[in-house]
Amino acid sequence: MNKLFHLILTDIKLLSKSKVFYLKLILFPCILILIISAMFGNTNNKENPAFPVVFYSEDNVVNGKTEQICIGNIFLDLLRSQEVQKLFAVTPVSDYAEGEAFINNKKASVFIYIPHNFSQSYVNNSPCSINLIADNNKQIDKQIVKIIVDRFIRNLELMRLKKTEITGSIIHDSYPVKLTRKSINTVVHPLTIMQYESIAMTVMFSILTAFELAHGIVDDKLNNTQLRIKSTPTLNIFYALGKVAGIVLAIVVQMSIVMIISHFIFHVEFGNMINLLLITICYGFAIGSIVFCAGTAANDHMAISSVASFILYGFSFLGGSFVDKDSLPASLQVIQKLIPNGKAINCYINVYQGRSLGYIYADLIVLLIIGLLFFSIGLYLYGERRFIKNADAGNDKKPVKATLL
Amino acid sequence: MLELIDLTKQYGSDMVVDHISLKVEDGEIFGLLGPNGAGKSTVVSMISTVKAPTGGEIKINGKSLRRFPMEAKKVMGIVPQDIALYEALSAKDNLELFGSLYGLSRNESKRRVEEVLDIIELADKKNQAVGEISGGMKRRVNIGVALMNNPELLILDEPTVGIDPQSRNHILETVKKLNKEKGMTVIYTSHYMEEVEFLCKRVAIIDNGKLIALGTKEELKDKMNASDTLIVFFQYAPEGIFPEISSIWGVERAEIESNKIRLLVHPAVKNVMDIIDRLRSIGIQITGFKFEEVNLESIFLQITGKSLRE
Repeated sequence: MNKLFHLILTDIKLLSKSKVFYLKLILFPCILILIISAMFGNTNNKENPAFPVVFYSEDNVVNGKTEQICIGNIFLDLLRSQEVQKLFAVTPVSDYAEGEAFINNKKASVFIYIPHNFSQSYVNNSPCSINLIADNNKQIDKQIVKIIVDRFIRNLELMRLKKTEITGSIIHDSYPVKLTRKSINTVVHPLTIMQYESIAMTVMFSILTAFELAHGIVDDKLNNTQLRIKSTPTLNIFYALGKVAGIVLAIVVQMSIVMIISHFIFHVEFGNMINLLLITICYGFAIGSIVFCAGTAANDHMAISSVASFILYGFSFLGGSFVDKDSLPASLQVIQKLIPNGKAINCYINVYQGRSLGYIYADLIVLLIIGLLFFSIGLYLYGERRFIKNADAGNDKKPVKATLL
Repeated sequence: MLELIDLTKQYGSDMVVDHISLKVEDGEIFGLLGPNGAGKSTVVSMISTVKAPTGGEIKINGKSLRRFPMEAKKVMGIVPQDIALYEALSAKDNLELFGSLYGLSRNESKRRVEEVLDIIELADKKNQAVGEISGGMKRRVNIGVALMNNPELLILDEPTVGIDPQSRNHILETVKKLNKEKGMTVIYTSHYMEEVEFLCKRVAIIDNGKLIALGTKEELKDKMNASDTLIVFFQYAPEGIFPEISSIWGVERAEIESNKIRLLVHPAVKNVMDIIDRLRSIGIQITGFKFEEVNLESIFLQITGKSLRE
């Protein structure tokens, strides 16, 4: 164990002396998360981002069968309800021009206008409408408001058909549009975009981190330290385990740092920490073994960089780091579920959503099997007593390290 | 201590090590001499288990290296030809790492690091990154790593390549001291015959993967009937004089360079002045001469017909 500990410690020491490592390990993922969060309006809510809406009603009170009603006011009460406020912030204005000015000055995404005598027209069964004026660049916001207005009108129609008196109290008792962030499955929490992005970015950068260590394996070859280690009474499996454990540890550290930063700066909430750690270890082992295999097979840094580029960009795209995994075409979603980083993202998402270990254990076992398979291949290649002819030529020829990004 | 039995290494049709057999006794400094590409480093790589032999056997303390590699590795210290260190780490960190890989406990390793730093005289540089120290110092750390397990058998593969004379002397003195004070068996490979002559009592000469001579310098001289060397410097020599020089009694071989003649002189010649007089008599205007007793270089030259540094 002492040998294994020292081999891991050496890798960590070597990594800690590399400024590039800090850049790739912590800075890049954090910057990317920051950029993505800015793109999505710095919100924690993936499905329902809050946006500003202005409201102006010229509607007036009409006499119903039992009491007076004003649909404009009822609608404003609805917009001011706690549930709807999670979707958008409503600002009532005093005239139509002021509402238009909000849109023109881009201070609001949508302007809801209820015209004069709207309630009267409704009671008289005359044609009437609620107008929506929206910024052309905020089509999604407009659609969200439109859905709520449509539902509201449909409920009014329904009540008229039932010939029920429309009153504010009725509307309050059963909202025409019951909006909730809760999912159909009560156990599962909704996923925020920050949660998704922080995990997708970290998984992507963990591949980069792992390949940084693969360059370390090639360095060991080129600097003859690998041969020297082989000449000591150290089992080959210790060297292999040391390298893979170094990768796992680096990925755990990277994942933890990004999660901590995301939590404190972006207020991202994560699920069960032990489950997250378990996923990170299984994923780290899988990706670490692939990288160890690549490192032992490669004879120079260029070879590693070529493989790294393919794996990093290819796997990141297919795994769902560049685009939301649910936005991938059906055929690619199948691949997403098969590759290690895709499996890792799926596992993390499930934990974030509050699912238990029982739900993801099959994926974790597959990750371990992938890891074991590549670890065995890497160990075989390492034990093959391969050597690089260039390494025997002398120390004056320093290997050129190719950049990955 | 070490025995090579019919050791071979073949890459395709290329026989890099060709049926070498030799024995190294406990406590001796054994030289492995040969020009670049002779196969010395391949022999060392096979002893250090980095390369697998194609045929033959290696025994350490009577035990087969193939069957008991871990036991053999525990008693060996290998100094590879190229510096094999983590340059980003300090000398101390490198020594500690390899100490642990040799199976030393944490306390043993710490104690041994201090001892080794004293031996290689780098205690004051122990915390400096290896990449920041001089080439000579790196070589010393390279040797230090191999000393961490206090080995019974120390194998040094051309440890003085490309370093300054001061560091070279330090390395040679250190090796001699380790052998004398600790009784360490040393195998020293080099293509510098003066280093091997300084350190080693017994020498194996390898060329093209074959063992071409084995024994002490005296044994080799007797066995090979090796010649001393007479170098004659001249101002003028008549044209076509070479056949006459070669035919002088006692001259075994002659080479004429721009202003000097190198002659291999048979051991039976008692007085080289007879040869000098003969050269003068055939019209060579001599400005000086130098007589060198037989050495490993001349033995090698005599056996292979080429210089060690070719």
